[in-house]
Amino acid sequence: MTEASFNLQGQKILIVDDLVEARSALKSMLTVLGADDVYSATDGREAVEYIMEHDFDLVLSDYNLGKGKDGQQILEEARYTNRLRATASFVMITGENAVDRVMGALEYDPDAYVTKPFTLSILRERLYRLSLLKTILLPMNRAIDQGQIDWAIEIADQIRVEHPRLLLPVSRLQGKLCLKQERYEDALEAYTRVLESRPASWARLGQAVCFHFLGDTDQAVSLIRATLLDHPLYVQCHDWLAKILVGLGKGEEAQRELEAAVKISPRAVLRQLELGQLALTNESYTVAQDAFEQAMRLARYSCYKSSSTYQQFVEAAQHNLDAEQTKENRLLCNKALRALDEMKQEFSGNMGVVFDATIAESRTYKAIEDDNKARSSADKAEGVLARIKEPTGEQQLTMTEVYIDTGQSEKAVNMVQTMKDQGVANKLLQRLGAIEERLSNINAREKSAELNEKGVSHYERGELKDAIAAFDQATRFEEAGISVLLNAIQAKVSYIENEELDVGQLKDCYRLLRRIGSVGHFDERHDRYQRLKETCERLRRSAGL
Amino acid sequence: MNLKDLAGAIIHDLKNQLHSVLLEGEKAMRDMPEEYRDKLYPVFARSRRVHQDAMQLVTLYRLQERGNFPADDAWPADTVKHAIECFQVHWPDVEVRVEIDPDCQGYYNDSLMQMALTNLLNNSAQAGAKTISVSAQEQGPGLLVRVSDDGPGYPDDVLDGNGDSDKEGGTGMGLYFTELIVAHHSTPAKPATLDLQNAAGGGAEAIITLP
Repeated sequence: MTEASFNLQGQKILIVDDLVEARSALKSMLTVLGADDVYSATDGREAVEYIMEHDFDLVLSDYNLGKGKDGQQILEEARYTNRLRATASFVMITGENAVDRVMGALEYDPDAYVTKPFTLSILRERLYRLSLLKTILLPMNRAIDQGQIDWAIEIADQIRVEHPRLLLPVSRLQGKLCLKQERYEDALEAYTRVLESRPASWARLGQAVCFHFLGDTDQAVSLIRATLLDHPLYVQCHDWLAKILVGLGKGEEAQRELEAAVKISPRAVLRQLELGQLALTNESYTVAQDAFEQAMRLARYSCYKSSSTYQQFVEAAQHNLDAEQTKENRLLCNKALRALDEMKQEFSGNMGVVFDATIAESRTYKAIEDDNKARSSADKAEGVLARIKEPTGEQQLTMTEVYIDTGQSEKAVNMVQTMKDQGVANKLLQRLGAIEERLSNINAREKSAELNEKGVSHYERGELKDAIAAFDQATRFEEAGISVLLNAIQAKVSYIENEELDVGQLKDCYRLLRRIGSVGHFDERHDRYQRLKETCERLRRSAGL
Repeated sequence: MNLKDLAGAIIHDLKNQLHSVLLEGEKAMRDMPEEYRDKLYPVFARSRRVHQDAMQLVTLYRLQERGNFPADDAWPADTVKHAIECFQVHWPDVEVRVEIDPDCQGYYNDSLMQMALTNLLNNSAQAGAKTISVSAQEQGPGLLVRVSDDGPGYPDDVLDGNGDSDKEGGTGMGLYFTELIVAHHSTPAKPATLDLQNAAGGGAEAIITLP
């Protein structure tokens, strides 16, 4: 075959571009080149659908497809699912400013690039060169399609010796295949061979990845950092660096790398999700919120759409909300609630998801301290839970937590009892323990409050002994608040002043004062505390103690 | 956003708009009767020139912002052919002779080198050359590309390294741009160079050496 006789007749071809002029221009060029079986897709979703249904010989996709998936994501889905054979070709068409974002993918790299704007003759030559390459690589790619990867690597060695000019494309493929087979020494050899003659960034990243898997993490990190200096927009470098840093337990450094990657290439759902999760672990809630929001938006029309993304977005947002009546708070709260509405709608058939969304709604209201709405969402969640045939232990525990958050501890106690009667799975015991502790605290606080009220009413009626007895009981709870302790002191002081100088009561007063510690100047109870303390001093002096 | 970024964004948009104009224009020209086509051609040729200038500006901007233009296996025969295509839109009467083995292979950024070569061709034509020769050879792992013409040769100040020549049409800018592109292909081990000289028999000669 010569360039003049190069012909695309009989090949099944898919072109992907969101712009109608670009599509028709490309199609007419291909027609001139003899193509007679051309499909066209306007976006990533349509492209992937076509790829799932047909066996294409050649896919030509624009990198930037407006909304939704980009060309790289199409390539990944096509290759990952093995729907596009290794013998078939994927050609990426890029704007001149996106080339360096596209070049570096180690695992899923296109067979060729065409930079826009291009003419018919540029396209012809690119496709002709590619067809020459693919013809030579055919036995190797056939082996890949048959899943015989080690054999393919062997064939690659032969091809490299016979065709020294193909060093780069063959070594790149070989490196990729060796990584897949976890033959890191061999992969390292392939990448090193390339670097001996050409300073290709992808080969440096390849080397770094090999070093990482071979245990030389420091070498890997410094190699990637050096590559990034030369090639700052090489987004896969940031991805790998993040992956390695997470492994080293350096979560915050890893997060910075992913933030850099997302800045360069904001449209990859999986990267946004990874960043969100990492930031959530690092308690960087603003970053997490942004990342999940992007992921939510990007995944809306893709196979990555998942209810957990919505949920995680709202979880991050809750940390950024407070009770202040600011515009930001209001906007963020509405955004979270809208996300939850969408989540309920999109997954309306799944009661578990609807339950999660309703719970998240209650917690969002709780975060802005709108107790009434938090309670009413909790009631709704209760209704949803009742419609789930066999609620899981997790769901029951979640409901219990929200009962407590919304001041319904009796319901919480009942739920815990029901769960215990049914038997609780081991993995949930810790969470259950935490809930029971919260409940017993609440119980104690409630009892203490009850006794305090009793003491107050005795005091008001002048029944000082009864008042002291009630307050003594109330203060026996560790959870008793400062006001309760001050009430107890006041009752005792009044008794000493009006009835008799009871040294035991006075000592009690000092014990209680010590328990309170100090009360800040700005605390509304400060003056009362101070007054009682001075009275105690006076009584102590007059008792000659 | 600072003024520089704003300018960058505007040039970028300008370039994209011009690209659409060209696509639409091409389509319209295909569909119209021949006599109108000839009338419209100069408009089309000028638009392409403006588009090329805009491309150049965008690239210049990115080169200065340390943007990366990755190199890859590339074939000088193809690159030169495309440079000539761009060139001949404006200079249909200048003859370009090419002596390059179709298998000759290099390692460079194809779009950048094409721009550099288009610039060199434009320079020769603007200086008055009627015939231009382009050749390329592999030199070990590197590549040597030679563009020579039958024009008056470079003026002394250009040969002395003062890029601003006084020929109309911004030759100085073109050479500066070409130099930037060539320099971008330097490796830590070996620089890439652009050498300008006047041939013994007359005419200008530009030699690009890539490592």
